[in-house]
Amino acid sequence: MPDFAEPLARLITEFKHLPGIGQKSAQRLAFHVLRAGREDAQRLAQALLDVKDKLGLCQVCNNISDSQICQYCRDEQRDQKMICVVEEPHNIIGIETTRQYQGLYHVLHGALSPLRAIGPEQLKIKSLVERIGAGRVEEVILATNPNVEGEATAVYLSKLLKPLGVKVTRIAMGIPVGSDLEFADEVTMWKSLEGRREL
Amino acid sequence: MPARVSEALVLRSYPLKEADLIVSVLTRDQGKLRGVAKRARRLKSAFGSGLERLSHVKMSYFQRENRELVNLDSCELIHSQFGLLSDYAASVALDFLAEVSEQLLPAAEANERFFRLLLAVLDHLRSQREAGLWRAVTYFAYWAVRLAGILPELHVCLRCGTWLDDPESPQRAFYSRTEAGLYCGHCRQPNSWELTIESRAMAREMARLPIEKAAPGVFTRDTAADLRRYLIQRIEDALERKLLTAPVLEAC
Repeated sequence: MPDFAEPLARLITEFKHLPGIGQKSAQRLAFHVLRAGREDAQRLAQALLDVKDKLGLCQVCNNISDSQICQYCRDEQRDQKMICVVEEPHNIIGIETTRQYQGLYHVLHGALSPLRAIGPEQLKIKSLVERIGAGRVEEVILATNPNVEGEATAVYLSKLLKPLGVKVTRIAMGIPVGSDLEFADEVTMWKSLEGRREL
Repeated sequence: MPARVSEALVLRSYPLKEADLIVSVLTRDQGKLRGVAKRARRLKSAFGSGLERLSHVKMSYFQRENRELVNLDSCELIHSQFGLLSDYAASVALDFLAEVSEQLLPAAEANERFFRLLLAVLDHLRSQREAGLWRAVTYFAYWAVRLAGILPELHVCLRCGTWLDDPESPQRAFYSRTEAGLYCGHCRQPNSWELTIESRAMAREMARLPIEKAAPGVFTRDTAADLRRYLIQRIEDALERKLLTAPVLEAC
């Protein structure tokens, strides 16, 4: 690595800690900051600090929020009888872009993975059970990722929540829109057949 | 840059960059390999569900000399374990098989017997479901320890050499964390646990019979639990670390 001036080298090192950023990308970003005006750099620094200082978890659903209760939990227009359970806060964005879902959310902050020492205690499951125990919820949609950890988490949650008298559903799995059946593997095809619906 | 196609079992995967995965696979002919699967986390990935834990696949990859990571090109699914996930205990059992294989096997050293062991255990789990879970886990633990070369003699006392399996007067046997072998009742150490005569007989049966014929009848969590605990201790001693999945599995 060439010898950069110390502040620049430090910035490059910090950028390299970000996911998906290697040496070249870090250099490119650091030189961009160097060429930008002082105000731009100030805004970037402030935005980084604000993310750490002003954000926390919603006390109800554990989504990332700048207030004690997030925008979805505050919205009284949303269907209070439905909760969609997701692994991470950014999964909410994917569901919101559909504009089809008007219920509430619950963020687990991970999925069960004994291999990574993540058990039920490490996830926000207790607060989910408490929300359902309060009695207003009628349906829980399990929207964990369609992989082994997500599926195991969904199975675990369904066994935990069904005795509480709520309807527990799982998002459908199968062929992505725009792809070709020819390239679908055994599990994807099986899941899409399993989740077929009458027209 | 030779292109290869190997039959493989996916042991584990780790996210890399935005949409890639680092995948650890056990191949039949090349042993344990690690590779990069580009764009594997995208919705329309060419790998589909082939990179899920313990998927049995035909893997295409190329390997550069002096590079530890291979480039995974594509995979064709032979058997998936996705159907087992309807049971949480079975899912944890799969994690246990993957963790032991990942930790116990050295890199790039072909071990066809271990590969066949995993296939047999997975076949048994798929066909027997929950009923076959504890038999599969115990059988796998026994053979994993044996194939790793860390299974001590189970029929003699480590200290005095007493024959523990004498058919006319079988002896009680004990084991401890500090020594690998078994002790008779006279040489028993403090902080030791018993490995029952029935569990030792089961171990002998597992040594000579395929999984579906070993220990016929109902096999519950309590069946040969002492043998399983003993085997897990041997694995942990060899690895010099605790297995993450073993306590979770026993708690299921």
